[in-house]
Amino acid sequence: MGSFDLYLMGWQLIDPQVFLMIFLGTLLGIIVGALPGLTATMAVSIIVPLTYKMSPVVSILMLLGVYCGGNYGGSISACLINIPGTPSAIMTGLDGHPLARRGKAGLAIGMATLASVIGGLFSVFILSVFSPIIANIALKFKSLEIFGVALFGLSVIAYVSPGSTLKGIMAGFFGLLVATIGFDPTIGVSRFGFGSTNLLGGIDFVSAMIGLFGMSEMLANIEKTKKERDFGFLQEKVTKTWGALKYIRKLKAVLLRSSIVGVIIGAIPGAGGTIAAITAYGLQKKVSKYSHLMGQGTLEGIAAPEAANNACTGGAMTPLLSLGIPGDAVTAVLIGAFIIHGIVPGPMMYTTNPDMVSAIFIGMLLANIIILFIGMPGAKYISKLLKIPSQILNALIIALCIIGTFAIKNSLFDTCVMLTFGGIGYLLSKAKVPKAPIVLALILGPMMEENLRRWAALAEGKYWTEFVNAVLTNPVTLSMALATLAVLLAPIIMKKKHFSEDDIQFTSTASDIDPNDIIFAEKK
Amino acid sequence: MNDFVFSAIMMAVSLFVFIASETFAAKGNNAFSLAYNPAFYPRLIAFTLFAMACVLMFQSIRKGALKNARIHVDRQRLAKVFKLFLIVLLYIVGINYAGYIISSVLCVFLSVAIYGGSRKQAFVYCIVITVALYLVFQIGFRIPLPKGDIFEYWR
Repeated sequence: MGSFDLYLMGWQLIDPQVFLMIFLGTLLGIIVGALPGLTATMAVSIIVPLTYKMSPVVSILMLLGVYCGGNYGGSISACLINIPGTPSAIMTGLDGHPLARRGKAGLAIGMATLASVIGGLFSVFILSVFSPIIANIALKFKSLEIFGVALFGLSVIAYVSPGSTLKGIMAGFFGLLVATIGFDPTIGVSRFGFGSTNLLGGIDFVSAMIGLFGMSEMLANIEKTKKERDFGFLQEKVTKTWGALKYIRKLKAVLLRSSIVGVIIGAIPGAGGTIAAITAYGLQKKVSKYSHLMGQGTLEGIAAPEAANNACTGGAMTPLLSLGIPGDAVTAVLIGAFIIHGIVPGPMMYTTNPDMVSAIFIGMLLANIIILFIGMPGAKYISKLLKIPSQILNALIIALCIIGTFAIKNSLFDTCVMLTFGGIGYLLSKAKVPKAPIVLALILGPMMEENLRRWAALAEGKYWTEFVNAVLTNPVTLSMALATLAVLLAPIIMKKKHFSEDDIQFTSTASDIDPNDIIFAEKK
Repeated sequence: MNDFVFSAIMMAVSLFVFIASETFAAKGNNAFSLAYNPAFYPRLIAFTLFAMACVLMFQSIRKGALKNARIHVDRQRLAKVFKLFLIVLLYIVGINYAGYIISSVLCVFLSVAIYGGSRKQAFVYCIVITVALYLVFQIGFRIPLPKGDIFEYWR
């Protein structure tokens, strides 16, 4: 089935209720994204239980709305208070905030909105064209290739997560161990159950991810003083956002280049909006005539990272839909939502659930259009939410984490799992260990084990001979093995990772520029 | 020091997996079979994790983890984390006995207070948040929230 047919099928699924839920999801995503400390990953995690009783199409599209909206929302606080609402908006504040301080907050947010929408729409187009092609190739994968793809995804997410790669991979392996709890997929015996019936089915990954991304953040937040949690509010009024429209033609090359960067980086399993935004900003600085002015309030400094980080959404969905491997932490959480509704993301979706695939294309298209109509007129109202006291927000999220987890299966055991993983997540943050590899391992773990053991059963004990044979005769297995090896060895060869959490902290608060020196590059 | 502690914990986890998997490990011909020994795969993962933990521990020792073995702990902040953890734990345990409404009101009240909110804020928002979540889950999504064993007993 071609992309055009999928689009046509998708439109038939969009009724007023579905549209309303995409709208609500996008609005919720923008609000959460705009509030520093609350990330799109956390928002999707804690909203998953809310969608449990909805139909699969409605719930997935609502969560996609949260994802797209959350990615954009971070730019609002980045421009207004120079604190990115989400990590992917770290570069937006560099030029957005100086421009806002100059009295052009509306223009800064307007440009961020338009760039986000253009990047997002471009990525949906690429997703709809390329994901069916990749899925078609992936359909021919056998057990060893499927295991290889999953291992590759796990190693990449460990590599690109902030902090040490070794710790990232260790976190992934810890997740793989947790995923072995429950019934053995081949023999059927209980593993690590310790006599508890609750553990027979394994650890519920939705509870685990709510704990890791929601509860652990709340535990970390309580450590901060009230002054550290609340942020200074810019008294600047957000007006004339539509004024940014007249600069779009001048910035079309910037937007196209950055969108391409965003899509490519988003499609690399494990990479995400933060890296895309940094890369697009860096690239723009290299090619721009006004590179010496970037960081002082230029429009291209806002357009480049915003187009790139929103283009990442479609890019990150490409490996998810075509290979079943998430492109970033949010799509890792989204896999959980898919599985809750009985859908296994991956190449088979194009044959078993083509309606869902088509609905995803249309849903993402609509979410990006909705961003335009919420972001442009609504930014001034959303910016007022930055005044909500953090203690109220945190208490609400704690209650939502608990009741949300309980609601999945009406199980208090799952709520205890959530709290346990909240504690583990808190301790991991203290040790600067990334959490995303654990969630990904919990999701991919059973699939990896099942395929590896199926392959081992067919190999009949001659593992090495069969493995070497598979690598030498199948180019997909060979490329997968080489790519995984390259990712695992990269930190040893390159010595240093491209960024760490400390770098993000530094860049997000770095631009302390005299307002009189701020130059509006596009007028020069 | 963080890396040293993390690697030590991961080593302990790996060893625990090795010991605990003995209860379901296949014996005899299948003992070394990846396909038919349910303990083989977890042990393979645990062995790799143990090896990586050794590398991390070695790296942290080389960086002087043992020389600077003092961990700075802000007791006040840590106490707050424990208090919040305890509140959530009591909420989870209490929800079965006292029911959703009483437990939620208490949990949100204490959470707002521990985060530094005023009593007035805590009082207002514990009711607002409890009612809002009740409307969303119980009324909107028809997910039954616990009524509490105490009330069931009285009835």
